[in-house]
Amino acid sequence: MNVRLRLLASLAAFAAGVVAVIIVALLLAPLARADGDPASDWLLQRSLFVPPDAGISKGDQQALTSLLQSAKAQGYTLHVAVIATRYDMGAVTVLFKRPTDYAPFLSQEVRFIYRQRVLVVMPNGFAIANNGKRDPAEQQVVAKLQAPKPFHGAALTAAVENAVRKLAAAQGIVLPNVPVAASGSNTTTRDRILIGVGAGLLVLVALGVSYWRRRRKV
Amino acid sequence: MPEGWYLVYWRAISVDGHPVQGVFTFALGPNPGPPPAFPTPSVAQTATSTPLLVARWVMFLSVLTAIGLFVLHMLIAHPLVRRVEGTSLRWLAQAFLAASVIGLVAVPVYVEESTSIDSLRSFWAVGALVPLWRVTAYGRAYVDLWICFALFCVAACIALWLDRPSLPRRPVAPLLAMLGALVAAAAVLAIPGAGGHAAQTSPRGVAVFLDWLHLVTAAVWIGGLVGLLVLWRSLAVAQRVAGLLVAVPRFSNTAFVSVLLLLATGIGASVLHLPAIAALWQTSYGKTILVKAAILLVAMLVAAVNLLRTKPQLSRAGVGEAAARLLRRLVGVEVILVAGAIFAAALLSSLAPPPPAFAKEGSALARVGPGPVAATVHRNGYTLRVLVQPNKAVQSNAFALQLTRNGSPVRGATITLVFSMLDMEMPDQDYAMRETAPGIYSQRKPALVMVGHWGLEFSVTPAGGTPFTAFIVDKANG
Repeated sequence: MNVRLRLLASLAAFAAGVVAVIIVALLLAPLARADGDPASDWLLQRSLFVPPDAGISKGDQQALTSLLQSAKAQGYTLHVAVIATRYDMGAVTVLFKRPTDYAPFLSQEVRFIYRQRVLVVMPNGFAIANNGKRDPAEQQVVAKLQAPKPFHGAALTAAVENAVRKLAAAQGIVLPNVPVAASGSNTTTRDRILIGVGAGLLVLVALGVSYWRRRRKV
Repeated sequence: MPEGWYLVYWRAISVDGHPVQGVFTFALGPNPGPPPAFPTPSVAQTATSTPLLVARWVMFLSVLTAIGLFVLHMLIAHPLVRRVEGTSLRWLAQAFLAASVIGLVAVPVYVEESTSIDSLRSFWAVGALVPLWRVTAYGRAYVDLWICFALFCVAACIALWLDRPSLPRRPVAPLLAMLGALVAAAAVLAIPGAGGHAAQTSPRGVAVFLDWLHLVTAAVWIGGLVGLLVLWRSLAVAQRVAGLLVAVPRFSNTAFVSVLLLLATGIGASVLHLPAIAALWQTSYGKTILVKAAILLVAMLVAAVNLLRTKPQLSRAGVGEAAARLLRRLVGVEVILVAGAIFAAALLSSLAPPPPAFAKEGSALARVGPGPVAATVHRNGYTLRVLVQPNKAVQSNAFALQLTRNGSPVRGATITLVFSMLDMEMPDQDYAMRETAPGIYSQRKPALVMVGHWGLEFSVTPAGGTPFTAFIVDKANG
C-alpha cells in the first residue's frame, strides 16, 4: 500500500481524535467557567476563596487562612468568599454587588457539606450567612464595615482580616496576630499550569522525534 | 392583566436533561379576592417514557460495546494472530462495525425521541424537531456525542484498516491512527457526564471524572465480553483453545482492574449524588442504584468463576475444549447481566437524584399530610402545635404554630418558617411568622407550590431563650 496514503490516513484518524477532544473541551468550558459560582465548589473543602483578579498574594492568602484556622480552633468557624469582579460569580452574575443576597445563596449551596458561617466580601460591602440563612445579629457587625477602595491587594487583605476579627470579637473571641506577607508574589497557579503543559508538550515532542529517528535507523 | 388570581403551569428541561414541570399561583392587584380552588394539572417530576428509556439503553450499549470491541481488538487480542497460526481478527472488526452502525443510528434516534418528549411533539415530526435538537444544553451534549462518536468510528476504521496484527511491531501509521481513535473514544465517554447529573454535582470536576472513568471501565468490560464471544465463534475448532489461551488471560487481567475501578467509581458517584444513606432505599434513584449494584454483583460472581476456574482449565490437557464451552456460556451470562446493568444505568440517568434537602428527612420530628394538619411535637422543653389548612398544593395555605412551655404560651418569640421541596431541587422559601394571639404565630402563603413532600422547618428564637429548630415533613396533594 502507498506509504504516503497510509500516513495521510493515520494523520486523518489522529486529527479526528483531536477534533473530538476540542468538541468536548468546548462543551466542558462553559461548565468550568459557569461553575455554578466558583466559590461554592471551592468553599466545600477550603475556608478561603480568593479569585486571581483580587490581587491578594499567596502569602496573604496563607495568612488569612491561618487566621480562619485560628478562629476555628477557638470555636468560631467561618469561610470567606472574596468576589472582586462580575466574572468571579460564574453563572450567578445577577447577584454581583448584592452581598446580602449572595451570602445565603452561597451558604445554601455548600451546606450539604459545610453548615457554618459564610462571609461574602464584595466591592460594595460585606454580608454573612449561617447554614443557608441570613444571620441578622452578625450581619449588623459587618454591615458597618466599608469595602476598601481600591478593592484589591493589600487593602483588600486588611479589610478581610478586619472583618474576620470584628466578627470573632462580637462573639468574645480575640484572634492572635498572624504575619501578613508582603504583596507581590506573581507566580500564579495559571502560570504553573501553563509551564507544566508547555514542559509536557516539549517532552512529548522530544519522545516523538526520538522514536521516529530510532525507527528510521531500524 | 386584570386583577385576580392566576395559575401558572410550567414545564422546562433541566440542564441535566430532565423534563420537569410544576404549577404555582399568584395574585394581581390590591384586592384579588380569596384564592379560588384551581383544578391542579397532573404534575410529575419527570416525563421519561419507555421508548425513551429503551433508546437510551440501546445508545449506551452500542456505544460502549463499539469502544470496548475496538480496545479488545487493538490492545488485548492483538497478539493472537502472531501466536496462533491461521487466525485473524476480522470477525472482531466486523462486530465493531456492527456496533458502531447501531450506535450511529441510536444516538440521533435517542435525541429525536428526547426532543419530541421535551417539546410535546410527535417523534415523526422530524422537520420540526431537528432544529430543536441543539436548543437545550442536554440536546447539545448528545449531538456533540454523536459527532464525537462518528469521529471515533472514522478514526477506528482507519486504525483497523492500517493495522497489521501479523507484524511483530506496529508501524507508526497504525499507531498514530489507534492513538487518534482512543483519544476520540475518551472524548465520547466524557460527554454523558458533562451533559448529565455529574456536571450538576459538586465538586463538579471530581463528579465528571468519576463518571468518565466509570464509562471507560464499563466499555472495556462489556466490549471485551462481547468480543470474547465473537472470538469463540470465529475461531476454528482446532484453534479455539489455543486462541482463547492468548486472549482470555490478557482480557481477564484488564477486566479485573476495570471491574475494580467500575465499583470504586460507582460508589464514589453514589456518595456524591446521594445526600443521605437512607436515600438508597427511600427514593427511586437510590433503589435503581441498588438494583444496578445487585446485577453487577452477580456479574462479578460469574466473572470470578471464569477467572478462578475456567481460565486455568483452558490450559489443561484434555479439558481445554470443555472449558472453552463453559467459558462461552458464562461469558454469555455475563454479557446479559452487564447489559442489564447498563439498562439500570439508563434508567438511573433518567431519574433526578434526590435533592440535598432530602438529608433533612432523617431529623423530622413528625410526618404529616396529606390533608389538614394538626400535629404536636416537642423540642428543647417547648411544645409546638403545628397547624396547616387546607394543606393543598398550589393554593394559599394558613400555617400556624402554637408555642407553649409547661402549658403556658410563649410570647415574643422570633419564628421563621422555611419551606424546602424534598422531591426535587428548588430554592428554599423562608417567611417570618407573626404573633397573632398569645403564643400563636401564623402566616398565610401559597408556599407549597407543587404536589409532593415538603420540609417545614420552624426556626424559633424565644425571647431571652436558646434558639432551636423543629423540622417536620408534610405531604401536600393537589
